[in-house]
Amino acid sequence: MAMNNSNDYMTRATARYKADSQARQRDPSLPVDILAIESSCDETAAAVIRDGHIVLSSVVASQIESHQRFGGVVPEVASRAHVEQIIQVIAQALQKAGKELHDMQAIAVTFAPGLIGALFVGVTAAKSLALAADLPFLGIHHLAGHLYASAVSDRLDPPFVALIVSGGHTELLHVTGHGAMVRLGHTRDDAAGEAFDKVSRALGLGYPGGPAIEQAAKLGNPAAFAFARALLEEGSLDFSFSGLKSAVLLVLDKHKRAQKEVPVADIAASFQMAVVDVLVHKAMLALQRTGLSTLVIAGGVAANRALRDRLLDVCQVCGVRLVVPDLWLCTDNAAMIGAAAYYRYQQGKLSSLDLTAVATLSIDAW
Amino acid sequence: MMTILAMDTSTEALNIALGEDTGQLIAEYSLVVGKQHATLLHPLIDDMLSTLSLTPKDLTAIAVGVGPGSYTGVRIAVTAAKSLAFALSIPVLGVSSLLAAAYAQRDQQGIVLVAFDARRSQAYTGIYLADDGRLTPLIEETKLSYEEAIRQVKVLTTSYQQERVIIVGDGRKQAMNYANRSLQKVVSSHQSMQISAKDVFQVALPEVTQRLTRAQGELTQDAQTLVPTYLQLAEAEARWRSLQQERLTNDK
Ligand SMILES: [Zn+2]
Repeated sequence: MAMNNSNDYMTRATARYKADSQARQRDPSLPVDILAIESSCDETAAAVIRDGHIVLSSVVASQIESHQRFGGVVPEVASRAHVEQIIQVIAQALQKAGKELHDMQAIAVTFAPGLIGALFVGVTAAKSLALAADLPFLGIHHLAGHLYASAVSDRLDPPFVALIVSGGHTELLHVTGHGAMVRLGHTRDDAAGEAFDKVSRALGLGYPGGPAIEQAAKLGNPAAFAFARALLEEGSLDFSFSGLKSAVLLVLDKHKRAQKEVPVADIAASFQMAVVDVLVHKAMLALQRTGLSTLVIAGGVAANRALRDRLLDVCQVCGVRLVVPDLWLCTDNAAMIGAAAYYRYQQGKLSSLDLTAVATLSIDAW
Repeated sequence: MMTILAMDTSTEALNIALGEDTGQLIAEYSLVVGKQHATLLHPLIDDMLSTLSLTPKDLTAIAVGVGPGSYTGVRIAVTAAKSLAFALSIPVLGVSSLLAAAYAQRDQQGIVLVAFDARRSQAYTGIYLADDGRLTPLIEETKLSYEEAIRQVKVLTTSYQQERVIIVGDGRKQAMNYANRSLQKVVSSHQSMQISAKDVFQVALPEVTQRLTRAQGELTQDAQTLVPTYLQLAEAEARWRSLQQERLTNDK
């Protein structure tokens, strides 16, 4: 026989949600403060976000240094660091915001996609805080977080086309409303950021590859090597970067075999140009296809100067409004998760305590 | 009344319990659920509390098995324990999962070997003296080959003049293979649960009662610094370190 508990978590959290909503109806100036947690890869992060766009605090404990010696993120090393740091980071975020846990209206956490062991830590922490403080709790898709990074500095009014490019993702989305999206295209092999990492490693420029390639490319000639742009079938909005990566490795190999000096800067610049060309081409195609005139870019690769500059030029010519997140919001952080969570909260889509981490989940399935 | 929540997810079983500071156990849930610890831990805690008409705010302390054991499993209970303790501003205490497994044998007389299989013929090992209802750790818990664990047990039976050896843990069959060759009175004890949360609760109890007197600042510190016991480096880390070592020796 199932017991009917009138004092279980969901009853208490829903009561809290209703009470807060009613209070806001009486006094619309009352804020929605959300404590957000992010641990999907190698950053342990927490933030307090007001009304989906005011950053009261954002703390990111990066593990880059501990992974650098491995040339990439090691999942087990990342998970261990998350457990070590998670409460320090959360405590700091609350303290910097001048808030206590019970001042929050909700707890939000990235639950998918990402490194499963790393996600478990954030999700478990978030569920514990929500359970202990009787607060509503929201599982957020990591890419929705990236998408809403721009909400911190800009108005984000759907519909628009979003291009999300990071170490784990390359996605073109048609965002039809808050939290509602259709995937137009995605990478069939490497993510753009992943290609940057691999090429950077091959060129001996280190990890993470994005900033390293960008730096090296400044001194190089982007026309030195004509790497093929993989545009796939006519009209496809999907991406493929593994061929480009192989082409770069081939050039490297040729130089090494001929015992010629490797033109690192030229290769970096030509590779970067090839990636930017493809990204811009597909983004423009998506705008044409949907008939929309706003493009939002997001993700770690959105911090790339060459990509930003080119998109600015192209969008100006085409009369497209380009929304670009602040640089610090491009890489993983919890502020963006709190921004995405705000819209979810407004829609009353609360998660229950059996929500768990999911390694792969398409954003339109969220 | 003081209510203590105890949990352990270092094995395939999910174990939670509630007890009072008098030592009285109030409730215990045990589920063998494979890889669903992360999904089920919080709904079960919620269910256990609300069934007893309690809420998390009624908790006065948390005790948790910190491993060694399944890396992912251990992280889930430890993260939950430190997060709950932080949110509720109550003490949290980490307990060795090996010690908790040995605790069920405290009323026996003899040497207790706890062996959690760590693959590659090795075990996370704890060795204890069970004497007159008391359990005393005899070695620092560590990862050993089964052969070496039994060798150490044999030495300890002599130095503590004990005849009986009790072996528990999921590595007990492999340990028995070696034990039967060199030891006389060996018993392999099958516990329905390798670790029960009620034992985590009992092991933690004396220290938990002490910590209840701690200042707020120290409590926050405990929640922030609690980490799992892995007894083993991450594989990539171990490889990297041995590579560094090689380089050092080559340079010489
Ligand atoms: Zn990301």
